[in-house]
Amino acid sequence: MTTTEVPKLSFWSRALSFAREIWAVLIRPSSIFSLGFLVLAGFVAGVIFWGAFNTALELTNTETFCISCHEMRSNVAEELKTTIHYNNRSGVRAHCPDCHVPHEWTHKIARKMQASKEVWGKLFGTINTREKFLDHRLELAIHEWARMKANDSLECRNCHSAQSMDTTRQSPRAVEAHQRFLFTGQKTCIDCHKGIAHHLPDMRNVPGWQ
Amino acid sequence: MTPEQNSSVREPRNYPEQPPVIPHSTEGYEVSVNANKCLSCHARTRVRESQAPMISITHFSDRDGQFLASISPRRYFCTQCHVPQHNVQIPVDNDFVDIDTVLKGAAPGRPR
Repeated sequence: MTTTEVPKLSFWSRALSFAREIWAVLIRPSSIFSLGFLVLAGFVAGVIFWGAFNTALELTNTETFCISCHEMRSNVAEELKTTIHYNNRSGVRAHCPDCHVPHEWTHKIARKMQASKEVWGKLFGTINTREKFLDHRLELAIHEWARMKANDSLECRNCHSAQSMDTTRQSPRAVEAHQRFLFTGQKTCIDCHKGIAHHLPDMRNVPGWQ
Repeated sequence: MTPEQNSSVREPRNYPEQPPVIPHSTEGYEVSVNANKCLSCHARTRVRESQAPMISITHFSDRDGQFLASISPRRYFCTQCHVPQHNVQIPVDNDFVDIDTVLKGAAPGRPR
């Protein structure tokens, strides 16, 4: 029996030769499709990709998404429920991303990239118990305070603008504080309004606290 | 519940030892083992910025009369004694009169 045996190629060498074939096609000009068709197809594919990208991005920007992890659902989301940003006379509710994700696209993407760290934390269970969460609360809070200090409390100001504040409808105490510190630009919202939506961490050594 | 009185106008005490009532809203103010929102205005070091009355010096003393550097733990939970006010229709009349009113009511010439 003398048959010429074809040597069976391994998966990786087959994959490599397939990749080479694809590459050979890609680097040559098209001989079938017109340039106009290719441009148009590229445009349409781009629109679809862009739309899908932003839709997926927006899906991660919902309260449902945030509280799909128990770390958020049973700690911070639970604490929010007793505050004025969740339940109030006028029925306007601030959801997680309203305060924690910038609304403008560029900054939103930057924040979303930072948030990849949170995926890491989820995978390795950094705060997967109440005790671990409490241990990390100060660190997590400091990150948020620093972020809001740096962007001049942008997420607060998306709803609460200093220009639209009618001080005649505020309490004397609030008028005094806002006139001295907010309108003069000496302080930004988060400097005084800490812990308004979640419980506070250990505040010793935090400026302005005992 | 009616909204908390929020005028910031200090109320007189009904008797000298009365813990002053809080003339402003304290809604959402955290007073816990981690943080004390009241002290972020009323603590000694915070008064310059807040212009709020400083907590009484008596609050620095522990139960043995030892004066501490800061607020004594037994005085830490402010709303145990100091309470915000609501404008409500009281179900039971209160006929309390303070001592000054009693003294004024005394006939002239009687011992004060």
